[in-house]
Amino acid sequence: MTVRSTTDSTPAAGIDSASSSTSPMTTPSPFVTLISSDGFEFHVRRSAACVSGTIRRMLNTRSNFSESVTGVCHLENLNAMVLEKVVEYLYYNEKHKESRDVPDMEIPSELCLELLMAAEYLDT
Amino acid sequence: MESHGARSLAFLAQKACIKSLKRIDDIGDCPYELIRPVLLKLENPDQLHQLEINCPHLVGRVDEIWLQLIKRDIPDWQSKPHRPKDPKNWWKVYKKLKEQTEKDREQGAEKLKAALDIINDEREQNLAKVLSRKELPKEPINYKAKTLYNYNSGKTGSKSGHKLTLLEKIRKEARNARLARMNQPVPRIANKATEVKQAPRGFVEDQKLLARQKTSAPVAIRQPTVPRVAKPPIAIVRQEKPASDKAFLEREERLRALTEGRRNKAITISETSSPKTDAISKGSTASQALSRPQRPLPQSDGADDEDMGGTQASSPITRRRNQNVSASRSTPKHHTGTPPSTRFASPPPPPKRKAEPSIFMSLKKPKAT
Repeated sequence: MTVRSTTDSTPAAGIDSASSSTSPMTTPSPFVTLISSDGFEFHVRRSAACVSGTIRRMLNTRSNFSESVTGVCHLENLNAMVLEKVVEYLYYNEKHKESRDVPDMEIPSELCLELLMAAEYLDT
Repeated sequence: MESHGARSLAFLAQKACIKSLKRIDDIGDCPYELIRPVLLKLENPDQLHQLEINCPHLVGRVDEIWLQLIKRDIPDWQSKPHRPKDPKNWWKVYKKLKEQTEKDREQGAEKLKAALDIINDEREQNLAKVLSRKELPKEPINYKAKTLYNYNSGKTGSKSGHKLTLLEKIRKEARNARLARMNQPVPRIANKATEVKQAPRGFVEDQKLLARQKTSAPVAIRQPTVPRVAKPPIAIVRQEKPASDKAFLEREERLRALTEGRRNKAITISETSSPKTDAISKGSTASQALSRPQRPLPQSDGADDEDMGGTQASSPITRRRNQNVSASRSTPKHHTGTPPSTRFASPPPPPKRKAEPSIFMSLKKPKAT
């Protein structure tokens, strides 16, 4: 089953998705897909996804990862709950990139340990 | 930390972990470096020990945390062996050290308490202790000193109205001083008028006669006495002679003299009788009155009756005597209506006598009539 990401698109999203048929080296779509271990798909903006260093390297066009071509990242060690929180964080981070005295995002205690490990994995 | 922008996810996650540190007993396969900031915040050695059990990869890595705990809980840790040879034994080391510390602490507390007790005892010796009644030494009961105790007023002593206040005492003293003059013994005041130099003559004569009687008349020969019978009280019709009427008295005297001359031949003790009458006339009738009922009456009853009867209407002397004598004694014999014995019924005119009837009458000779 697929789930649309809750933090979906900006107007710019629509244009890029149309041009998927061009060459692989043309402008990549602004959205990428992150898939959890239990099959949940999260469509996130590329810029947000690249907050995570791991995802950035995966999606790097100069590398030879298949993810860079498809724009789809399978993250097998994260379950949907954790991934959702991760995605939330990604957007939170992107949003507050320039500001000061940012209020911290809240993390539920059930996820804290897994999130810690996820954050370690995703280098974020 | 970045000066701007959001903090890293790792940091935020660690922060969240620290928040709920107490609930962490297993970190899975999380590496020590990652969880270190969290573990450093540990305060419960038991929990750390549990973590070591659940996550064996932590064993050997958490030395510093153990040390931290020891530093915190065990005073003077540097002097004691606090590092286990085997990292697995951190927990044991900690425990041992902890127990030692506890023992030392207890001993110190005991010493302190002992010192304090000594000080307190010394202080208490100087304090006054409030005793209850039972703790007091028992006083021996002084039975003599037992006095009444009034619980209401709290006063002891005899309940009396005779207690004098101070003012009353003063007044009493003053009064006594004032009146003391009267209480002094007076030197003998010679009052010749009231002095009794000799016994009254009548009394003396009586005694002489008594003595003579006793010697002369032996007791065996008893004169028959007039039986004294109790007579019912009778309404007495007395013929009171007015004593104030002098003319009347003179007339009576003459009459008596006449009648007495007829009767009285045998006055043996005329000698005694005259001084007796003198004495009587002076007023010492009381002795006569008293002696009268005691006299043994003469042999002849009739004479006696007459004598008795005669005394009633006789001279002023006798009259006076009669008045002194109680009515119950004299008049029933005189009255004609009531007396039970026949002797008293007879006599006619009350015979006159000069001599007072007395004990001496018994010695008179019996009358011829």
